Amino acid sequence: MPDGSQRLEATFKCRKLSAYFGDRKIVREVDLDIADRKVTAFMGPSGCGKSTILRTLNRMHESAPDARVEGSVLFSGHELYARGVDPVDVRARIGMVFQKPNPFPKTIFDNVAFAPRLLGLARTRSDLERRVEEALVNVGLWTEVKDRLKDSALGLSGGQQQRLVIARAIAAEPAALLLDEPCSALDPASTARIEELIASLARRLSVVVVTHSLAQARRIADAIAFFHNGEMVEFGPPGQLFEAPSDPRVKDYLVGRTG
Amino acid sequence: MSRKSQRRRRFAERAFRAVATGALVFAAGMFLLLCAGIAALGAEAFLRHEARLEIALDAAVLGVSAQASAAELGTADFRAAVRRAVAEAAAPAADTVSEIELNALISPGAEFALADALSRNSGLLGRSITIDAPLSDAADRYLKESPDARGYARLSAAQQDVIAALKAKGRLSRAFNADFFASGDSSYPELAGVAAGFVGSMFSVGVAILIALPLGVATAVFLEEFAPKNALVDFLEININNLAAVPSIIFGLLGLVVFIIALGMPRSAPIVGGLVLALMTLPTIIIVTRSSLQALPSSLKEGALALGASKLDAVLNPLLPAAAPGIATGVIIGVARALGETAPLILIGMVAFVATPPLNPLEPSSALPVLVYLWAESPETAFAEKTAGAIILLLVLLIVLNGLAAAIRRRANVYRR
Repeated sequence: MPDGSQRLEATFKCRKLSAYFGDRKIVREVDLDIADRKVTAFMGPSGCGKSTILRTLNRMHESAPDARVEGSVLFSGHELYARGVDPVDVRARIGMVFQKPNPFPKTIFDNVAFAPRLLGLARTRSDLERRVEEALVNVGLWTEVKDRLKDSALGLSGGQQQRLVIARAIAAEPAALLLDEPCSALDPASTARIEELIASLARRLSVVVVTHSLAQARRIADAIAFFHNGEMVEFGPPGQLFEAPSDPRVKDYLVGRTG
Repeated sequence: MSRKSQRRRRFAERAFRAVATGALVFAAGMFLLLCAGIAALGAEAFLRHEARLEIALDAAVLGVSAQASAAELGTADFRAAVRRAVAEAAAPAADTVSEIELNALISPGAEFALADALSRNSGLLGRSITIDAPLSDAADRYLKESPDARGYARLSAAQQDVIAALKAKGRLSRAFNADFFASGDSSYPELAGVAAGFVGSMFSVGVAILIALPLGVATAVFLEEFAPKNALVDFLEININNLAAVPSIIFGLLGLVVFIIALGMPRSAPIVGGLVLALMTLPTIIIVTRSSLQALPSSLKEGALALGASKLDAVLNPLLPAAAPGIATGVIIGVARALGETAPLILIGMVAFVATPPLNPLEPSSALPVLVYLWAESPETAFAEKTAGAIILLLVLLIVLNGLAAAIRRRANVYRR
């Protein structure tokens, strides 16, 4: 794994990537290139494997029992599934945010400080405080919580919690951020804030978002990968995918016949 | 039709509520009755009657020479001096009383106090000192029981006259019984105390927590997060669950065979008691730790793993802290059970008569519940109040423990909403 000393091209190259739960093949031989500092959206009907393929990108998939992966993922040119690569290191470099906000039952400060403490990023207390502030500023939460950093994170609203866990993820200084339907549990106003945040994050790191919402994908995505039954059936910029989809399954989905 | 079924359902709900409320009230009433009963009986254990006596330490009465050495003072007849002091104080009622009857009114504690005072200051010989001598158990019970219910008071008419005379002269007082807390066991009920049992229980439970808590939590974490899923682990799990249901006396037998006979550890010692209680508490701690960990949302662990935490990192933080309230509750339930456990301690010899509290877990000791057991089967009626007193102390300890558990839960709840 590359270290974080200099900014790398945070690109993913998936080749013949397959993922299983036991004998069930959830992702089927996917070839996919994800560009650096862009927002890539994964779409498709429920159960199409889009969340699973997202979880193969930081080796979270195999944390579930019976889960296994075949094929190859090159991240910045380094094979994530090479022998000797520790999934723990991969996850420290490629952050992940889940569908349901999952702040730890700790203070707001301790939530954001979790990764810097764990990974030993901060040398001093003031450095730690600076990192926490920076992460909270980046997600636009600082002015809302700066006076109650010592309060429980569980007292925040759903939208605030989701921005908090994004702050927690970027405090680990990842090169890429994977978001699994980050807005599906949020109201429209909170969704809009998260979308703005995703756009601003993409200026510094690669962002991959799983989403159900066509409108959201159209608003935020630089590229869209469309999945169906574990296969990637279409990949391209949103304009092309929405205006002239080449695959009939995508057309069905867009007009609401499936999904 | 639907209206009728609705009425029926409403009636069922009201009936259920009424029955449940009744059950609650009944349970609360029974509990209050128990508390009141124990408190009424046990409160007497904390008080005792004392007689203010002016005792002449006359060499002739004591049967020693005027310049007696320490060794000679050891043979002095302090009882005679006490007897004389009582006879003088209660004169003339004491004239008709025999020596034996007089002896039976004042506790030997007075003689011990005199011997103690003389050994510290031999210059007292030939002078007189005033002490508050504890009454014997028979005299104490006689005074504590109401005049119309003195069925158990075994005082002769002449002894009753002496007590009445002492009372009339204002010599008798009700005092706090410090011996009950400061002394070890004694065959004289008025001198018997819970100190040896209390200290022994604290040592035993301390050893048990020190061993069972880290071992139990670590075992639970291993089984929950790290152990492979196979037949051997399943077999282990079933056995751990079964261990929680094994009668505690079996653990006592195990302690006797393994720790005392095989490993040669000291008999009657709190360290062995603690080990046995640890074995007994271990399954409880393992089970509650596992269920507390299982009760956490999986998103907590995923969140930590996604930030680059290893499995062990995630367990140490945030999983164990989040599970801590549940674990603490379970540990305290286990400890409370261990604190009240008698049978296994009897098997490893902690049932011995222990007059001095142990200074460390290796010294012979008793335990609070064992004291209750010992005293409850003593023939002297005065031990009944001691038994109740020891039970009160045990209950207070349990309430403190439960309060602690509640406080831990409340503190943790700040972050759980």
